[in-house]
Amino acid sequence: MNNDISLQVKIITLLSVLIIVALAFIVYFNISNQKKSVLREAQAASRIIAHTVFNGITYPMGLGDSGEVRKQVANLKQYLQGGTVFIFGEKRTVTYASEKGMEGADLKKLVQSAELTAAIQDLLQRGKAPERVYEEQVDGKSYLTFVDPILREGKCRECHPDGSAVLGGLLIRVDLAAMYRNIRKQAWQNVIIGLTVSLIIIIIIYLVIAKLVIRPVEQIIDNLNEKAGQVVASAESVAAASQVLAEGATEQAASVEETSASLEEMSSMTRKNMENAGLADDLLQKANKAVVQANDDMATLTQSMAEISRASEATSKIIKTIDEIAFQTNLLALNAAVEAARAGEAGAGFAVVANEVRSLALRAAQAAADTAELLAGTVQKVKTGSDLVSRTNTDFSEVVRYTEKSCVLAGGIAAASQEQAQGIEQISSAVLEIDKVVQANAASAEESAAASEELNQLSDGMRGVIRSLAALVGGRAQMLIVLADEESGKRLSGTYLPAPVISPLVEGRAHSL
Amino acid sequence: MEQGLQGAVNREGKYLTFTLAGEEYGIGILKVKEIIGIMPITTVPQTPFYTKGVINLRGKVIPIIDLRLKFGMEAVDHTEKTCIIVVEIVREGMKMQMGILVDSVSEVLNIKAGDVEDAPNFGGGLDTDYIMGMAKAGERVKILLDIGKVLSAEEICLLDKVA
Repeated sequence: MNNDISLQVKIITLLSVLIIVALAFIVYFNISNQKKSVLREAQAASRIIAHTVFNGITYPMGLGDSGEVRKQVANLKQYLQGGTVFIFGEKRTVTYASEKGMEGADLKKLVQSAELTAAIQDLLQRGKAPERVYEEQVDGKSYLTFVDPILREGKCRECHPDGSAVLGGLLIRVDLAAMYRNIRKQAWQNVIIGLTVSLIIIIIIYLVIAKLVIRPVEQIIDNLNEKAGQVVASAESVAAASQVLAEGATEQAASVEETSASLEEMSSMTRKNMENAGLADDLLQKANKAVVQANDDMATLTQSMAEISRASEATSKIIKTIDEIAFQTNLLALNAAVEAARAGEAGAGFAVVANEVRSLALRAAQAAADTAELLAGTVQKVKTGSDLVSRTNTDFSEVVRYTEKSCVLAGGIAAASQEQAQGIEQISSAVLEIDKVVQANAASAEESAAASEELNQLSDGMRGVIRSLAALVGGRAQMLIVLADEESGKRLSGTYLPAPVISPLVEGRAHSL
Repeated sequence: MEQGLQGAVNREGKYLTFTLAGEEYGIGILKVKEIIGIMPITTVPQTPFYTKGVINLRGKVIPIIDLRLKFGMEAVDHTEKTCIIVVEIVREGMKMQMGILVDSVSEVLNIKAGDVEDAPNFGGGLDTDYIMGMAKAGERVKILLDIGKVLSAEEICLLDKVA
């Protein structure tokens, strides 16, 4: 219910109530004040009138001129404007009155107020003047009554020689109705003026509030709404971003897992490489040793072949000598044949001998030649062997060269594998770091999502506050507008809360590299 | 000349065969004095180009002729088979000894008259007087030389002078 009434209305209602109350107070105050002053004035006036009347009638009364007194009293009617003056005696009957036909009336019938009656009684007995006025209700009208004693004094004794000290009294009754009517009229005037002024003031205040308070507040509400919408949008984008981040972190974690698996493979390969390189190195060392051994053996072989060569050469020399001998023997044989021929008949036998010697020489020469051939063959073979040996030597030295190169390469492979292993270790530690960072990312993404959810809620709270502000300012209509804005805003935003990212590496962290 | 005639009529007999540039030649054994192996030759200046020089054979100075150069073949290095055949030739009634340098000495062959053929005429102005004949031995042909005609008279004189 409270929300249906706008701020303006409330303020104005409050103000109106206050003004009315104030007005009522003022009016009442005014009226009572006026009443009091009127009463006082009436009292004063009455007293004055009483004195005036008293003075007015004492003279004619002193003279004993009743007619004059009556005239005077009758004249007083004009003064009193609707009031009456009674002069009454000890017996409480009206002796003189401003109203015609009142003479002789009993005061008891005229006086309606018990107080007044008592006062009159008191006055008549003691002659004390009640210095106050009394209110009377006669025939439904209000009157103000004032009584004053008339004392037996001086000149009065001439006509009233006996009796109490108090001759009678003077009763002045003033009609309050007119005064009251005046008062009321004035009061009504006051009220009307007051109401008009207050109405104007209310209108002014209404407009002022509208302009100075309501409009800025409405603007503020709009701004706040906008900002709340923006906050919601931002929260939504943060949520989306954190979801993307979470997805990315998941992918990253998967990739890191793959990478670590590959790294493990790589490291095992590297280890194998290193082992193989070590083996190869060992084998190459052995091969080197074998080659060195072979080289030594071949050196020995070369030596022995050289010895064979030398022996062959020596043999060949001897064969040569034999050949030369054969040749010379041949020549000798030929010479002998020549001499035998010269000798003719006598040298015939010698010629035969020469021939035989020649054939022997030829045989020796042939044998020498054969041997020489064999030797040549052997030498050739030895030479071939030597060539082969030297070729083998060259081959072996090439083998040694290649072996050395291979050794160097194997050493290089081993060193490189070592470095590779180190590098892989570094990479794996870096991957662990990456994993940590990914985890941190995932955690941050979750936090972001939670924060965005919080933001959403906060913005909802803010909307609520705005709504109440709108309701406060503008009443139901404003609240509906705000609600409409909220609805349109809420259609854009959902509540994105990305699924919590469980890093697969949490289990996979046991992989040692 | 008598010898030559005799030689022309009777080419049968023993011949000492030697090789020269792959060809076998023969010299009548009676002309041959001695066969010796190669020995140091002392060169003599201003002698014909085919004259190698002289040797000292047991006190005797014998001029040596390179038969290759004489025959117009190119000279080759001496091998261990290179021999010097000391021949005896008669010029103007004087006996002269000369050595001829041959590639190698083979044997003493007994050649029959039937195996000997006359030297063919090669045409041109080639003087084939010094070839006594061609002896057939097996598949090969041995050229029988008349060593006396191998050297001309002036040369012999020159040689004699030198000796």
